[in-house]
Amino acid sequence: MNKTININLASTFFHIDEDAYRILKQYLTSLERTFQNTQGKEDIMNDIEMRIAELFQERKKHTSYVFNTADVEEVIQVLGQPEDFISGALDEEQNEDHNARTKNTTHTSKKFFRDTDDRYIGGVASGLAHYLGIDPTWMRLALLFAAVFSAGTFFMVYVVLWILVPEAKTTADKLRMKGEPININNIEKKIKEDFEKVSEKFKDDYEDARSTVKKKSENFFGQLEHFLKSLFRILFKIIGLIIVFVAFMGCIGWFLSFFLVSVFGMSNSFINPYIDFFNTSNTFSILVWIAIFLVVIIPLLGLFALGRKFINPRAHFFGLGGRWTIAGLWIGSVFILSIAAVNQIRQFAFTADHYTQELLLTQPSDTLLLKATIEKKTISQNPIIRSDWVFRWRHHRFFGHYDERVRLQIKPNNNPENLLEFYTTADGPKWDLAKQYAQNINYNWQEEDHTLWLDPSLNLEIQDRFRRQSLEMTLYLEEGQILYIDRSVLKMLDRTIPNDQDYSRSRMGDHYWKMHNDQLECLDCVPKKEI
Amino acid sequence: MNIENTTAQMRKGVLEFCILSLIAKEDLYTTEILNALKEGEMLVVEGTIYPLLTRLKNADLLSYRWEESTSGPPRKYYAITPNGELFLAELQNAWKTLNQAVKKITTHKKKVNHE
Repeated sequence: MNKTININLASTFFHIDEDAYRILKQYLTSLERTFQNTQGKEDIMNDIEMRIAELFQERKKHTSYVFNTADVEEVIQVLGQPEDFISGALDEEQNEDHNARTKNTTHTSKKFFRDTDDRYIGGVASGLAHYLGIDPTWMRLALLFAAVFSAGTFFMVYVVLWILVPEAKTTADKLRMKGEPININNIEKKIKEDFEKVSEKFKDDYEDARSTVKKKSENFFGQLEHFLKSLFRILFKIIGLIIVFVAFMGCIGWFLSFFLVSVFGMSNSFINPYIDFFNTSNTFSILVWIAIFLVVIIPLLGLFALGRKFINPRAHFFGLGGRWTIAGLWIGSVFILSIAAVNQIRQFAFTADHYTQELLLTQPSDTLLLKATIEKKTISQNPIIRSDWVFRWRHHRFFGHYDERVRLQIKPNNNPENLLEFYTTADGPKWDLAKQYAQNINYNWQEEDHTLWLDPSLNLEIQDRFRRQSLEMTLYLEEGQILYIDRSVLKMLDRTIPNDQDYSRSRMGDHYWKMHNDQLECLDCVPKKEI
Repeated sequence: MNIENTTAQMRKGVLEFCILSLIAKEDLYTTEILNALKEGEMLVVEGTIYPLLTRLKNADLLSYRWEESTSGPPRKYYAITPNGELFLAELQNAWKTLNQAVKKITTHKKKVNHE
């Protein structure tokens, strides 16, 4: 079944079927394009239309005859293709382009164009392949080999060709590139009955001719722009790759350190000693740790997504809802952390101190031995596990066996007695609480058989661990008291203890010292060089 | 070189001359011109003639008038103008000269080839 259309050619009425109509319409439109820049275009078109009417009239067998494609093609055969029209009526002033085109219709010579429909970089290889009549793949391989064996200089040749050789833009260019004769049939074949494109082609040709020079320069900058664009694209991809890598490693690292190590209980981890750091309820503490985890991992995931986006602009992550959820989680985490931070700061608002003094039993007639109780001894001596044991153990594993917060100074006493003074400080949200924390500091020390045993660390109640507690002890010795400093206490000693040798604390161990004239005098040191 | 191309070029050169000569004898309408040219094998496709006629008309060498037809659409009758006649006379002279020159050259060539 075929639709019939009524047409009016030069005031004469004809029935024509749809396909035939389409061909005729296409033919007339292409003719119109051909004569676009010819003087008296309307006259010519009228004449042609009239002639078609006349030819139709001759073929019309009866009044209701419907013209079919064969009829129309026959008529077109008689009239000729648009190209023939031009070759027959070539105006001297008509442009070079038409000259070239007429030559091509009869000669079908090829022209070197870049084939941008089939390209890897600039379409030079495929264009050259069309020109030489070989397969583009072989041409690409050949160019690649040439580039490799010329150590890249051939690449410059490529770039020059890329810039200089025009791109096959119009259908006519594409046909000429492949050496096919440019006539309506071929164009029709080429662009599959797309009438719009046929008219485009003639328009393009016309415009090409009018602004060849302009186009040339535009082409160059267009190429440059294109080249820079692809360069940036590659650069972007490399940056994206780096970002993805960093983000991925960050995620893995954070995840491992956070979960596998702390939560699953491997000791010595970064977080373990601080697992109860926050002076809050247990539930909130857990929330805070989750928030810390999220606050780091979400930006890392975001970075990962960004990197992926760099590599592939169409990559999508989590969807819109998912993204909002994640953003919400992050903001929530930040909120929780700020509450925790404010809370934490409040815990250290006040600092209070507390003094106590203990009189030592050792008399100047005896030598006082100063020793530190080492951890193992403490534990073995105290079979009952104290409330802070876990903490102490972890704490020491982490910081070593000595607590920075325990200090010992040695000073002369003007009274004839040996004194041990304890000065403790602690922080708290209120002054009285801070005072209480300072008083609550439990310190293990012992004096037995003229030996003063000092604990290198503090014993704290489990709920009072993080109160910035510190202990400064001062040992007041009376004139003439002899003291032996064991090496175990060295780390507890204050940095400067007045002595006649000008020793720093690290050298004061394992020596006998005598309190004399407000300073310690070494009794068994190698004498200082006499001046 | 292909022969079709060359002959087409040759015909093209004298096509205007032929058309003017035809119309100078009597007023003709397009189809008559076409038929006459086709008979003389001066034309391969009809399309060529239309731009040419328009150009001759625009150059004031031809004029046309419409006449009703009994068998179809109205006909466009072409007539030669005084300008056209002058132009034709010049073309005839040129053709004669050209014809002689070509004859002379081609026959001379033949002699050379024969000897």
